[in-house]
Amino acid sequence: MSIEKMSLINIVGSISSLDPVLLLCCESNLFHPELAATEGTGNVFHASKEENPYTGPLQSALDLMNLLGIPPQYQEYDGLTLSDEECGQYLKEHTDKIEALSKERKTAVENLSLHRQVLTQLEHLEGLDLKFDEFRHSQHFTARFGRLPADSYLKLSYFSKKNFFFFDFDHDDDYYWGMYFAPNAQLEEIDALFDSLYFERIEIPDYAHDTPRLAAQDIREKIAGEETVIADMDNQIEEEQQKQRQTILQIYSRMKVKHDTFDYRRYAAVSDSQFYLEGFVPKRKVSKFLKLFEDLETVVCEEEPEDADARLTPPVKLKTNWFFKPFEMFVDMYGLPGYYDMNPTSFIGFIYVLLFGIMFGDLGQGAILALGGLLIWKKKKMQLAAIVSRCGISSMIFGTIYGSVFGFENLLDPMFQWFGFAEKPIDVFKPQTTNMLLICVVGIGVVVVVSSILVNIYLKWKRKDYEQAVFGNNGIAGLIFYVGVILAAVLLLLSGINLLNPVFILVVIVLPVLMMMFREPLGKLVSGKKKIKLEGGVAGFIMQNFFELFEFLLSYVTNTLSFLRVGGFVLSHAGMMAVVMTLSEIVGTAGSPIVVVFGNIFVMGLEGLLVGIQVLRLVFYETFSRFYEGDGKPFEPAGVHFEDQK
Amino acid sequence: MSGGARNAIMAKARAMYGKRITPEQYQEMCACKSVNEVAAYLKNRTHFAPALAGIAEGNIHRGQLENLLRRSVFEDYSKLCRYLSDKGDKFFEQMIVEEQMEEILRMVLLLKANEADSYILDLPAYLLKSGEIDLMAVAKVRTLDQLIGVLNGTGYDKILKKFRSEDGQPVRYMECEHMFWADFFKRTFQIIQKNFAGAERQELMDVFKLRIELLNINQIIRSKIYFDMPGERIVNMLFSYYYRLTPKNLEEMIYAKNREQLHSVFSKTFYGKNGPEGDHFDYIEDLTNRIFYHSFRKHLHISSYASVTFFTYLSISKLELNNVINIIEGIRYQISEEEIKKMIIV
Repeated sequence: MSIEKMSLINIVGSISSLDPVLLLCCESNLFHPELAATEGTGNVFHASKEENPYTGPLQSALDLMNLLGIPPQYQEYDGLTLSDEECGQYLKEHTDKIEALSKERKTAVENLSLHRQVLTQLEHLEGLDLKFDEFRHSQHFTARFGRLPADSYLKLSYFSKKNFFFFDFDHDDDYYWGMYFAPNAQLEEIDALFDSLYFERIEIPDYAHDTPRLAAQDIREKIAGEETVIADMDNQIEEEQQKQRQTILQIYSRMKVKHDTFDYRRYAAVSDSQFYLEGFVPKRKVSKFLKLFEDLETVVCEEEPEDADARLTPPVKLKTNWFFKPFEMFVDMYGLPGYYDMNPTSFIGFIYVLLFGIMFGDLGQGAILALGGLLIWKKKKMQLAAIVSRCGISSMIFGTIYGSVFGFENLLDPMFQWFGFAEKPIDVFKPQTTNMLLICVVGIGVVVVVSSILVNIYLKWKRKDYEQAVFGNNGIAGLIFYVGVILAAVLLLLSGINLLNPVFILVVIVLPVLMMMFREPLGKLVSGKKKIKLEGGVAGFIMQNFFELFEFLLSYVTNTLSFLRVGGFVLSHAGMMAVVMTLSEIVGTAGSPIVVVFGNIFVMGLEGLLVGIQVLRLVFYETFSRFYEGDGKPFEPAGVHFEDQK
Repeated sequence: MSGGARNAIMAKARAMYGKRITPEQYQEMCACKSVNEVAAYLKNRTHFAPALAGIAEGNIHRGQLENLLRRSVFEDYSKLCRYLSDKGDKFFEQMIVEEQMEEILRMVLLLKANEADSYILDLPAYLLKSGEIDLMAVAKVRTLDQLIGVLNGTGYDKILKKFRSEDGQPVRYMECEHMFWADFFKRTFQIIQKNFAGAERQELMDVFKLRIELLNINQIIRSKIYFDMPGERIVNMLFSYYYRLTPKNLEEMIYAKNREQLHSVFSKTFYGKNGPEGDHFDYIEDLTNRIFYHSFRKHLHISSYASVTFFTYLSISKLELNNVINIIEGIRYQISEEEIKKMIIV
């Protein structure tokens, strides 16, 4: 339950060793850089603002990879014999070559697209049994082929007195395909008219002499020709890709490392001859980190306490045991804790696993979840799968206690009898179990809420925030009130002992309530502030705090009762499996296994999802909201990250 | 209108609204380099896809693209009209009446400019098949008298007769336009009064009054800022309907002595208090259109009346169409991406 302790590391050295130092920082994956201070150095040091010289080469490498369809990924480049300059030359030569091929391909693609468009249009003209040459060589009139928007077709009647004819051969909802004839003397005017009606001309190629049908045939042949050219270009590009792939990736990797490393210069303060870097390294890795710089003679690397630079807040790296580590995902989701706070992962992981197991108790289904989660985790490294596998184990444990295996409620009876029990420890379907179950889950709720309040008291006390630690609804006052009321109720109901005497009421109920109501001025008093000004005046303060107090008291009740859902899901899970079993009996022997299998899959899918969400809600709302602030900044060590290594 | 039809219209209109162009899509369109790219984007990535399915986006003409988009909005209107029965249908027909009226006004303007020949080219063909006015006949007129003849018995002829001049003076277009719109609003309110009752009637009146009031604001601010028009002339160009503004508010704006005073008066009105801070008078339509859009969107979301949903949806569709046309025109005239983005109402 801790947060990795950090040390502040200062690195000073000659400017010529800045690049090797940054490279070591990146390779170590231990150094979280911070902007180095430039104030107080007498203008000797200033922020580094150099332009990254590797941006161009890196972009060239990416462009070439893009042209060749090579996805960016890391490739070991120790064996690359080319210098940086030669790399640039290499990239240029190959880019030119591929671009030439691509250009040729692009021309072929454009021709292909044009031919296809013409072909589409010609197919609409195939109803015309006339030769194009007959129109082309007329001295008196000209024919234009194309399509007219359906809207414009409606307007043709308006121009009935104009000297043209429009014949349509085909149409759909949007266009009329056809041709118009116009006398050559008025061709310009009629062309302008049809242009204004958005007539789209189909340029009949010069090689189309015959009828539209034969012209279409010609175009089909041309399409085939262009397709061959494209395939040929594709082959050449593919061949080039195979041949150059490794070298290009090596160049890319080298440029990427140099580029990203250079980028970290922005954190450095530099002078004419020296540089200065500041950052955090996990305390237990400091000696390992410092050793990295032993061989660099012009570099001095020093460890300092994490609070040595008042400007900086140490970053947060959670340190969680392997079992609860996947639950860091939920903490991340909510926001990391502050560096001086507590790592809540194990706490919420324990609550999550426990509540999930109680709500989804089934030995068989739990085993499936545990194994499935483990497999997916191994294959895809999904955090959620790891969480599911842990929840599966909890399900198995509670499933064993409930005696439930894939919905068969009595399958484990022989085992319990062998151990000397008369029956399984908990039978969910027994009415008396139901009541006990609901009381138990409320009890668990009380424990969770009290634990959260205790954690809050500890954290706020550590921060010297006495208003919240002592007088808040999640502080000592709230704890006394909550535990006192519950204790009084439990004793009264179970043993008939009435604690509600005047002293108890005054000390456990009235005093904490007043403390909560006046927590703000009391907190300021305890912190030593002499002048206390109530925001909004006395009346406003009382009004506001009265309603807040009402909300606090109400939330104690609702938050505790909120845990009833745990019991509710135990019952609903058992109920749903009972339905599956009943259905399997109804369908008879043949269909029964199918119903059992699909019923289990359905219940696991639906119930598993619901339970997962409900537990998360309980964790976030009933625990986190009591003590958690989530204002930490993550530990982000300098490094070079390739797409395939994310 | 039956309960089923009412629910169907509301569900359909809201579903169609759900497919609207998103702010991110507008941004992407603004980044296009040519009208053809916008056409391709609209065809492949937006709800205009069915309307543009047949186009060759590589060489489509801008005018044709805009025609198809306008037709698409009209087809949306037709889709909603399929659910209508008789009662209250007159109100829904007002959408066509409005478009036809705008076409008549366009002819009046072209007659004044002696350019009636070009009328037919921009005439939306979908209006040729709907509505009571024979717009093909309107397209053929070449004088105001001929236009009055074609419009005989429609009510528009009576308005136009007032603008006949013996001495060959051109038509006073702005006055004529104002009378057409005043007549349209009057008829629309009569239809609402006759066909709707209770809260539905009130909500319909509210949305219409809001629309008119925003037109009044545009008119006052444009007249004062651009033309420095005297108050008496401005009064004649306003419509006497009030929603969030009182007659006193309008009067104070009309007779404001200078821009500062006008801004001071406007900022104390409902729209000034609830709108963005600062002086937006240089392009007041931008502000009023945004108010219009947000108010109508609210009605579209929460109204329980099909008539309101129908009307607000169509109005928002037209705003969306304007956005797209602004982008197309902006790219055509090589206006910077940032400037085009400013014109988009979202």
